[in-house]
Amino acid sequence: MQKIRLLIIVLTLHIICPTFAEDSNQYCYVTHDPLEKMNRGIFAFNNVLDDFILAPVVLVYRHTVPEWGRSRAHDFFGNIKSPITLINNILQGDGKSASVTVGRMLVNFFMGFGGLVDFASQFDDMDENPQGFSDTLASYGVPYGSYVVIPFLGPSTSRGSVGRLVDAFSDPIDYIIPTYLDRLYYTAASNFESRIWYDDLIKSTQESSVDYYTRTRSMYIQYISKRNIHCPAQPPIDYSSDGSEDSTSDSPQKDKENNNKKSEEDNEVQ
Amino acid sequence: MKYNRFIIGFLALFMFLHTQFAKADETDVKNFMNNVAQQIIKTVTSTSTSNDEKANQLLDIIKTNFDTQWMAKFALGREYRNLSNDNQQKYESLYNIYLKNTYFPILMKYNHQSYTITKVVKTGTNLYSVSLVIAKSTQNDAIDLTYTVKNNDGKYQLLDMAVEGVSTVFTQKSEFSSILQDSGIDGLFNKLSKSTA
Repeated sequence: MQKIRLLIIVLTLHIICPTFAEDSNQYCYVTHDPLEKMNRGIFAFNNVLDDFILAPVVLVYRHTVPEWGRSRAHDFFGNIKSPITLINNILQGDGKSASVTVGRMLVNFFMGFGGLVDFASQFDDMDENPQGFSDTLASYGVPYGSYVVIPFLGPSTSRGSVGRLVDAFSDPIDYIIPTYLDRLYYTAASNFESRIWYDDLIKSTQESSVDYYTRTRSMYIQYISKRNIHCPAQPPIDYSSDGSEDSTSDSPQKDKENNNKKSEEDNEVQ
Repeated sequence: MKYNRFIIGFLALFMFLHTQFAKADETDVKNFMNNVAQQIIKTVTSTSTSNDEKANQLLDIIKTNFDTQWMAKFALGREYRNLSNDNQQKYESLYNIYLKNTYFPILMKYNHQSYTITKVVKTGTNLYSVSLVIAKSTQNDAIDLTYTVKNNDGKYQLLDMAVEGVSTVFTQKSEFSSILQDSGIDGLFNKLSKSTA
């Protein structure tokens, strides 16, 4: 009965969601951040947490665990999430990617010491391409909604938050690990591993940005837009323009508000 | 009949030459990219120069091979036109140092990974998109890079670099416009001066 219900939900999503596609295109590479004030607050909180707790732990970890060991941890957590990718490949109706995911799972399990080595990446067209429920919703044409910063976890979107939740429930590991506390340890370890893997990127972004919040947001929106099959592979930049002529903006709504504000001020002066 | 043969022959010749020219262009762009990459690798892996010297050498490489004026203009957008000549010069020189400071720490982490230029595509008049992949290492997943190269009167120059789809100039533009909206051009100069100090 449950399987039939799931099938009905999936089919309904397949029928309804293409109507979002037009909306979804308007969200490509465009920032929609109505909760900016709150997001900036959470972002600052996350940074303090990162500076005082996570970064020192990451530093110690990187000095004590050799590169080889860190890579094995990265490959392990990547492989263990393959079932989530497979579920979403199927939900997206992407048979080719689903077969690649199955191939990767088999190769890495049997030749990669149970998933400790990403052996499959050595073969052509077998690179890791993790997919979550947020990607599935994006493939159905669901727009990302608003940019949000989640406490402890970092940048996301409304769609991404729903996706995270569904992924947490569809993760087979959660059904294998018996206790709630152990599942919490597993999630914490998995997130910690991601933090370590992106340590260099986080540091260089932090050091080189003039507005760390905006840079992170812009990078995140571009990243999810590139992953979205309904969006072009690159932001809409007119490279043949003079540069200063280019009116490309990632926040047309904010620009419009500012222009309105400016013209209201001009009217008041007159 | 003869006339038709002439047209077909002419079209065939035209298409052949066009393909050959396009191939020659692509080879030139590829050579340019390889040359820039080799210059950067040589600089960052040198054991005989100090970090300060390396940073200065990198700034020279950027000034020669990147169209920094276009990048600076794009990052500021229409606001650039409202600047006085002095402020335009001040902004451009701050921008060059800012660009060096952005790339230097990233490039210094270069760990002898191999790279492959996978594709060169002509995307417009004198514009090319170059796809490059940095091989997976024990520290990083494979990284997809896309460079936009322009032929500026026979001289190839880089306009943008996108890492996994994240464009450098587009990111800078959103960063700068956010500062401009909050604290104006003086605020941006202030922040750029602090970041380049």
